[in-house]
Amino acid sequence: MQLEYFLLLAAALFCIGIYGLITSRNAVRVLMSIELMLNAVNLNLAGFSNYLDPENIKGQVFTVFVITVAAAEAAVGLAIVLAIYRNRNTIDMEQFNLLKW
Amino acid sequence: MFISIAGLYILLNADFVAAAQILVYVGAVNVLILFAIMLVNKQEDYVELPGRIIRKAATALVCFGLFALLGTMVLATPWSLDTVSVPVENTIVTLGEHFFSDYLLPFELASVLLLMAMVGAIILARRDLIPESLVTDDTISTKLTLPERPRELATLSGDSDK
Repeated sequence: MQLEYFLLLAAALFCIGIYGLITSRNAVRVLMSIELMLNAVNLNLAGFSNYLDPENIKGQVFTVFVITVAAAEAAVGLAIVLAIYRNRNTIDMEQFNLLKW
Repeated sequence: MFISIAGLYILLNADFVAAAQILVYVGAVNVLILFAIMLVNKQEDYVELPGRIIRKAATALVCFGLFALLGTMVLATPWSLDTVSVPVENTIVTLGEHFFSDYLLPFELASVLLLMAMVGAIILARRDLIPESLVTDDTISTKLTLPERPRELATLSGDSDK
């Protein structure tokens, strides 16, 4: 019954991340919500690797990969936010219409 | 929050992942977020959009529905728990064997990805200045012109650290 607790916590984190990703208008908050969702995925992977596959822990390998990708994504995302803020003087997500005409 | 997730990893017998979580998230991502908040330090009053309440309510409904779906799936699935085999003694040795035998290609790709992210972040966040000889004033403003601020001149910005 312990695996279910971890999975429920990860599902709750993921849903909170989706809610923050869609509704928040500050671009930095959007990036923080993405970090929240990646953490939920990591928690799922670690839980499955501990409870279903304890002798060769392959889930933890993928957890390390996801942490790597999350770090790269945070760096590039915040650089993009800084560049847009320097050009547009705003970080409102509703005014980022660079790819829209 | 990140440290508590690291504590959950320790509960799941994943000590190396917990250490990596603390190092990467608390050490790197938090500092990046703090830097972004510091550099984008601006009190901004958002323009109210029509139908904002409806959007928030719809998003909350969808998120709660997704959580209910995932929760029922988690509780209804009979997980085939592996209770006979003992967990590995030294997770770092096992992880290293995985990294350098059957996950060697993703490992190398991750290193290339980190290099690409570093170069891309530096290029994106760099303040590029245009020399004064290139400045022309014949910017035609049409309906399709993006509301970009012009780039700063190289001679005007005294704080350029080149």
